[in-house]
Amino acid sequence: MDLAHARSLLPTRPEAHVDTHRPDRDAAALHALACRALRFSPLVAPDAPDGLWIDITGTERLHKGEDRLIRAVSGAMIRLGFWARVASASTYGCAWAVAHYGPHGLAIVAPGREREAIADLPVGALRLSPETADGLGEIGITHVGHLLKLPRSSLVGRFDEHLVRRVLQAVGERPEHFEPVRPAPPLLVRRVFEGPTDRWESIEAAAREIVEEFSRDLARRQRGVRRVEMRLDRPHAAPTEVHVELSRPSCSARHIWSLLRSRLERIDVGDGVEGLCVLASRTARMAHHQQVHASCCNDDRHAAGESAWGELVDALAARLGADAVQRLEHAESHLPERAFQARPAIESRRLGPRPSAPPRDRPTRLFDPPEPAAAMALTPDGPILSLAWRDRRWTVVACRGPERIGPEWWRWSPPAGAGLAARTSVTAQAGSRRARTPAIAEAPPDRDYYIVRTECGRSLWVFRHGREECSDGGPWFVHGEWS
Amino acid sequence: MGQLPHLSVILGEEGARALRQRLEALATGVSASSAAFPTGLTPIDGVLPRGGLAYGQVHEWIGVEPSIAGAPHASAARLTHWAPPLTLLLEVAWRGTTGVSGGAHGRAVWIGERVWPYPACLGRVDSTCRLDLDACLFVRAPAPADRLWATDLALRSRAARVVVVDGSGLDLASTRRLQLAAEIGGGVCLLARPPREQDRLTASATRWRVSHAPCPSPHRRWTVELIRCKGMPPSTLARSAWILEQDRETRALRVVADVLDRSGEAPAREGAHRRTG
Repeated sequence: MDLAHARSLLPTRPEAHVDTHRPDRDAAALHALACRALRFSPLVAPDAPDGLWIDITGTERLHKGEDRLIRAVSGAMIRLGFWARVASASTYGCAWAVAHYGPHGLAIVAPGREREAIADLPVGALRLSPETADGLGEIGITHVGHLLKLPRSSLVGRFDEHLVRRVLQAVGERPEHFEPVRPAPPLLVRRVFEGPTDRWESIEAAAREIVEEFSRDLARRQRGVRRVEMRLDRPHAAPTEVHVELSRPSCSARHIWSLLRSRLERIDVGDGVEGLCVLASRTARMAHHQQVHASCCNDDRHAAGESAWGELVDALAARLGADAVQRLEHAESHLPERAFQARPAIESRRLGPRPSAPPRDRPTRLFDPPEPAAAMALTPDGPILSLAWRDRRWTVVACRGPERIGPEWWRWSPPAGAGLAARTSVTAQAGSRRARTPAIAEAPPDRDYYIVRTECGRSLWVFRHGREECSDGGPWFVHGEWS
Repeated sequence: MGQLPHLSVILGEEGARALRQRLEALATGVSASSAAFPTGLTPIDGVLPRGGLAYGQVHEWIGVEPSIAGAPHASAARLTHWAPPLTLLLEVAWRGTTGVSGGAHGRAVWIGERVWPYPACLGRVDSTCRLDLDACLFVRAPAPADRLWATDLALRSRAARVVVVDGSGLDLASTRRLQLAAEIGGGVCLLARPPREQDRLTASATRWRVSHAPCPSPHRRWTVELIRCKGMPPSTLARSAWILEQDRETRALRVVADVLDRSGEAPAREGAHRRTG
């Protein structure tokens, strides 16, 4: 069916979604899949357009038998989102035939039984071109068994060499080879000194040189590094390793070196260093982009800003520690102290969505933990007249509130006996959750927040626990301030 | 200056203009190339030399202190606790990241836990002006040396438009370093300093003092004084104090009054600062 035909079949409303077929990308994906299959055997090759060869000679023992091995292969493909038929046999031709045309999705052909296994399959199972298969069909040869029954001499005389080769390969009378994939070697640059040196200048110069080489390698492969390791080999001692993490992939020698350098400077070289090695332990794809002089378009400026931001985060985290450089994200809680969650900025993940609730009037600083205070009021529920806080008595001129903020109800089960019969299942669920994460059995009381203004102009956010739980109103706390 | 037309032949128009600006900057001490962003508070912008706070400069904010000087425990409280004027810093940081044109959104770095605002305050209630959480980086650096290093790096990197830093314990040389870094990077550094350090010299372009203003109105109020500004005549400086009010509902800041009636001791303190700064 061509595109025009497909479009004509569609009703007018849904527009056809057209994607160009890119055989090169298919091949690249198949190659990547082959590299992943290297765990099953060192000899793996892509079989275009949609197959993989895996030479499992000897490796089935590592997987405790051929049966388990092909199940593992099939399972791995399913986990990657592919539906795969797997067959194993003594010859490539037979395995291919059974995998493509066999009755079962998983099949093992016992050694010596290749002929029986393929006899009932159509001739297409011999990896023939469609024309050859059609030609065979015209003379009544539809199954591989027909071909196998013919005398070998007549086969050679009547059909072309290709067909004969495929038949012989399938039954194991002619050898067959494939070119296995070679996974890209790990990104590693090494420099070995003639003898141990403890001169910092030499080590630094060599390290700098290999980092530059390393970055050229990265750029050539269109990769950016997320984690770099540098290893210093020392005589009569275990090698010293330093590593740096980057918040976003980079292949800039200047940036990688600036991060590594600060780590290297802190190493005690002791008896000297014999060699250096720099290794990318985590990389990410990074497309080439043209270096432009000055920023002429908005995209470039944006990309430059992004990379400068990443470099800033990396440099800060390298010196101050990953935990000291944070981003904050909204958390699923209405409690003021839990409404935001800190994450190390070096993890480059997207922040969660903004909550839909409208922002309330909140202080600019939150005290953690809330600071105890003592309030004085004329009547128990009346406005606060003065507040004792931080060794001082503050006269209160205005008091606004309360705003009630309850505990996180989903963390606690409802009080015993309060639930109706119809809610048993809900209680059971909550109970099981509590069993998993042992939390405080009893929910903390509600808090009543007041905004209090002192005589000298400070605005404080104070709260006490709700009166249902505490008959005397409970202690007061100052939770924040507008400064 | 008469030689400069020849330079344009060698350097091109662009290069000659940059050199001219550089020379002017060296002559006046104020970098002419850097633009200024408005604070959004019209009376204050009207007084500032370029209609706003300049990029590539350090602006110093002396922390919030209680406005009643005679309180019994005021001195002890000033020594131990101080809180940066976060409401004002948030407003200025937001204006700084929005930029002159108002279109491009820059990023902000908050260095030192003391200046980390509670994130719910990053935007106004109506969400018209808000700093995005995504555009903010929070750096914990308790030691002054680390804070200085981190601020210097953030200013030089050009990645951040605004760097807000806890400036307690930084001396004149440190602030000079920050000023140079800001000039190179073109960002703006907002330096929050404790009231007890307000007599120390700094290399900042403007210096503000913020204090709580007691008032009967239901809205929060602060007194903001401009106590030093490069290139501003002393007569203007003497009149540069305002009362800001934050709207309780929208969190918008506005100037409600010029402070003209000073208490007796305020002008004396003002004079002292002009001598030291």
